[in-house]
Amino acid sequence: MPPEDSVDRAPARATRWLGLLVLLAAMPVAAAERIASLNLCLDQLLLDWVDHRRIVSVTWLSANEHYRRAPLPDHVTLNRGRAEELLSLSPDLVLAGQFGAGRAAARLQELGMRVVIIPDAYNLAQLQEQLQALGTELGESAELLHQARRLERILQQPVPGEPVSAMILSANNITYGSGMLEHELLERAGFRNLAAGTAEGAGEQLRRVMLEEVIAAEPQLLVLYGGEQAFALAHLAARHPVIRRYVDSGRVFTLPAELGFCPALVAADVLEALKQKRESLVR
Amino acid sequence: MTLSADVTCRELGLLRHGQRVLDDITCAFRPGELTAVVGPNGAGKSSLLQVLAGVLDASGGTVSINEQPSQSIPAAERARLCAFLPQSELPSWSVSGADLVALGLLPWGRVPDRDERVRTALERVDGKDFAQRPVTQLSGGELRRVQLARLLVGQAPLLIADEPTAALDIRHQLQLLQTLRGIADSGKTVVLALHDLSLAARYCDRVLLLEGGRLRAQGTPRDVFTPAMIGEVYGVSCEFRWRDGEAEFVVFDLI
Amino acid sequence: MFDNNKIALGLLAGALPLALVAALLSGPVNIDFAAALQQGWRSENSDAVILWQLRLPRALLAILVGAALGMGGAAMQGMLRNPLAEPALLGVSSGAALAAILLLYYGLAWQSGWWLPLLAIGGAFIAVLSVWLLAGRGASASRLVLAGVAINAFLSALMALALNYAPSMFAMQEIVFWLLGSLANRGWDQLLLALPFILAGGLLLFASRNYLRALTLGEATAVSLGFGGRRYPLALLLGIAAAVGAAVAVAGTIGFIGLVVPHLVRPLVRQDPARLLWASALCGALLLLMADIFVLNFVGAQELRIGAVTAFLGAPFFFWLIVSARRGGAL
Repeated sequence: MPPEDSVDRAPARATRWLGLLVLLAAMPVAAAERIASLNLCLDQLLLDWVDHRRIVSVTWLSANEHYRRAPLPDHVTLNRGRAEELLSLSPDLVLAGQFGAGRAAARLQELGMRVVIIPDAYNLAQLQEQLQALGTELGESAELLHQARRLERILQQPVPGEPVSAMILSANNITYGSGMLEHELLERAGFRNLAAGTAEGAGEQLRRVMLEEVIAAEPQLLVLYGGEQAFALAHLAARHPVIRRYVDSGRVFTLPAELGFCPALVAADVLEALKQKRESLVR
Repeated sequence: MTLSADVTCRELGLLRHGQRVLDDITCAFRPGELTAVVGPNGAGKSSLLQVLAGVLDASGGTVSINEQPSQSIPAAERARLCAFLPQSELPSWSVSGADLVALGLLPWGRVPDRDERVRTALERVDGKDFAQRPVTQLSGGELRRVQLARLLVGQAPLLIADEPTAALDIRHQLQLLQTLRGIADSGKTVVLALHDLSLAARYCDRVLLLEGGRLRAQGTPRDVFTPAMIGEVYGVSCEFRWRDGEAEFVVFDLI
Repeated sequence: MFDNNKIALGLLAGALPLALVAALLSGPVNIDFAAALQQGWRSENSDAVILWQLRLPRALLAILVGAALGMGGAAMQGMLRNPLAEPALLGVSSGAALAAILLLYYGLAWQSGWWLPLLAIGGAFIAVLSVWLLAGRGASASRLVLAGVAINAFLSALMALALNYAPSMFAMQEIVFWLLGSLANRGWDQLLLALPFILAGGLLLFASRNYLRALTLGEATAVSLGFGGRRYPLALLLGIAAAVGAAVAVAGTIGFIGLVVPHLVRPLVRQDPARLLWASALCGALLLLMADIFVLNFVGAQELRIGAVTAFLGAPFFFWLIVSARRGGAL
């Protein structure tokens, strides 16, 4: 069984590296050295921003090609959110999200393991809290710190004046209303989300929108939710000929798929890209 | 257009599901003749008629119509040469009697006097009343008459009907045979499968007697329907009384 | 009575343009219809774009698909000599959908051009051929339905399996689309993709009309009437496959149109299986267009699938057919 093999090999490799680590790494003594994650988004944050040698396990979803951003390091074990999987790895820090794998997290906590719940983020304020919570647990990881500061810096910049109208058209004709992070990003970047605060007051969350409503709203920028290239009828609306005129005139912006399942990962990038897009439209 | 059909069968054989249902049948059907194919159940009457009509392909031997091998005649042309009424023909849709009869004109494409022909054909089977009635609401005998009108409506010089009198009452049996007699007299070739030997004896010019897929006897009814032959083939005793070549009546009994 | 039938058919034909206008007026956005109509199809004005690029192709696609399904159902009933025959019930649509799924999710993309309808037609052809061979000709209603249900269940399972392993995050939810059909988000491209094949299928079926008439009297009589040989059933099977396959390729499987419509219009054409073809095409177009108008005006969080609407109409009808057959014995 491959998983058990890697479990056996991982500590051996870890001890080999440990000597070097103690000498070279400029990390605080308190920082956890064997981190496991029970949450897809936290997986991604760890893999992107934290030294891979400190990660012992991520969820199996992170190996899925829909979510994987780079090849997984060999020594990282995949877990399916079960307590016993993590026990044998003896991590010194288990990160869990607000939802999912809650039972495993509670069980591990009962067994005396250090489990930290990192809250999910549905808006920019929560996003910053999430990064902060992660920072206090992981110690001063250079990349994590850098990303948190970068987001803070961008958010401190003034919102550009005279908003440009925009509308999101996601898979299955879904658009994002005012309660959503995507809406906040648009507004912060100087856009006016046309799907927000419509007369019926239905614009707070996700909403189905027909193509003719998009055309009638005449947004200056059409925002698509991208990522997947494989065929799905869910993407049919975005491939309709009437959308082509937006594509042809460059009035389309594609949000990265990561924004959907792990906004912390890309929020700063998206904000900057949206601002640039706005500049190019205003000019 | 061919107005007459001279049909010849040579050494006809037919295999179905590995069984020989027709074997070495040589016979002829001439214009102006009304021929009855008779024989006990399972003798091969229906099979012979279907081979003649081109519905089944013979496994051996040939059927030729006017000296032309039947299989080499294009399907559309053969349909104009030969009209066929199978033993059972249940219409799948409840069309009106007139519409069913009109189907007999399909091989001729658009026929200008279609309605007139349909009416005449229905009159010949005493079925004027069935013209507007849905065929699924007709009784068995009434439906049979409509189907016969379908057979008569075209101009085919060769008419083949498998037990046309089945389900008909006695009056309409006689009427039908008289009609077919008249059609044969007008120069057409008519072939019927019949169970009623007295009808065959009375109306037909020629009789083919089949037994076990082989041709047992052929000739005029008077030649074929001898007490000895009938006794051998059917296992019944019989007595035909003839007057002017026509059988006046027939008496049967089990041997 | 004959005249009444003609009047009824005339009314149906007259209702089609009215329904088309109703469909063009249906939608969440209030458009200035007259102005949009005047601005013409090249206009960049949003009302005109909505009318000419969104609503019109969708409505025309409803007409086209409805006509194809109605005609396909009429032809199948005529060919199998059975009033329970229907493309979706007997797996013909599933065959087309399976082929489309294999192409779309494992092969080329939506804009894969002519391969999509061609493959769907191939799938439909194999399915309808299987039904024809399995159930036999002039099979009893129960034998036909059994064979059809078996084929349909098998193909539906294959569809679900194919989508289960499809490399798409939305694959599982899209089983619903392929099973219930949809006209949402369709444009001129899909209409033009299906049109030539549905027209070709219609022409094949039209060419087979006299064969269908002759089949009223059974296979033996049809042969004696000059319709012997394989080319007649082959043309009919191809015609059904082309019409139904091309319709399914762009709109998914929409059931019951091919069942209900021929039954409703059969009395209007005096049961003639040939005239039933075009009458069913007309009535199928009207029915599917009206179903789509209902879908467009239906308020709900999710899109109402058009196949669900036709099933609402068709399933009770199917029950009624079975009950009346048991009572009358004349199915």
